[in-house]
Amino acid sequence: MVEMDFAFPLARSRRRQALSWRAPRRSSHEWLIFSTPKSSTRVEKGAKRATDTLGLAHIKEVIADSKKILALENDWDGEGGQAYSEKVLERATSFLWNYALRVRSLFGVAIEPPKVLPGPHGSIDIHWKSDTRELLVNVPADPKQLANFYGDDYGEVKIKGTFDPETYNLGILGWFLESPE
Amino acid sequence: MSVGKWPIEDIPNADKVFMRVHVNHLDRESIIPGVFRDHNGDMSTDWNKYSTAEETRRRGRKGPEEYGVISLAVEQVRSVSRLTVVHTPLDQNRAHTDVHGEKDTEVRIKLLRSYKWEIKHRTP
Repeated sequence: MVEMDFAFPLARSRRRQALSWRAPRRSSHEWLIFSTPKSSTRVEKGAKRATDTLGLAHIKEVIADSKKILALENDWDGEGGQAYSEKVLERATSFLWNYALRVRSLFGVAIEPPKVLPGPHGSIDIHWKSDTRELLVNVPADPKQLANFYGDDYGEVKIKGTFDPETYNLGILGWFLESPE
Repeated sequence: MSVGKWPIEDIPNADKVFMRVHVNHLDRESIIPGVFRDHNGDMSTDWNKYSTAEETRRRGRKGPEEYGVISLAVEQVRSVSRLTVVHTPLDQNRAHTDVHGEKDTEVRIKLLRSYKWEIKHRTP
């Protein structure tokens, strides 16, 4: 089993120390980007400016659509579920947008659109699921609490940890960026 | 051991527990990870020894038409790290069972892969 469990943010050197495990060599596009020719957008050099200059219109759509969560009132689940604040949704979607921008900037591709969902106790879940990978990020209602995440490939490769979505946008991305060869 | 009206029993791994799923916890036909959360420190379910899925559905505070019911195999739940399944009967519900342990992102992903529909919501 390959598993890591650490907290973000970590200094670069500390993060390297934490990576004592060995993972199979992976391409930089494999984890989280879920890159497929059909749905990923490679940013061509010198591409003409278009309406969607960033190639991230699908992420904007996800973020716009997530605002429906704010319509959920107290006891929205019949079990006493609490309503969601604009602040927590903003915190979650800011992380998502910054993450999408960072991946695009580093790799020239667009991330697959996740689902932004009502989580437990006023928190927000961001959920990616494909045939080969699944990742769940939870942004708590309390802004003082770190976000936490878990992801795996339905097999032996797993990532798990916490991070501050406001100050460390690279976050989960660091896992595959620094995978040992 | 007994607390209240009913004795507390050991739940065999071969059994299953039922859980209500409100329609707002659906994303199309799938349930969302947020369905697995604690109320007062534990996740409430009903042991199938003393409840049917339909009875679990009718225990919801809202109308039964707003709920579906899923089942979780006790052995599978116990195989998820740090989760325990403990019979906690209530006077009005002998089947009441708590799934104790933090429902962090890892646990919720694993539970999401373990459930089986017993009663699906009726689509309007």
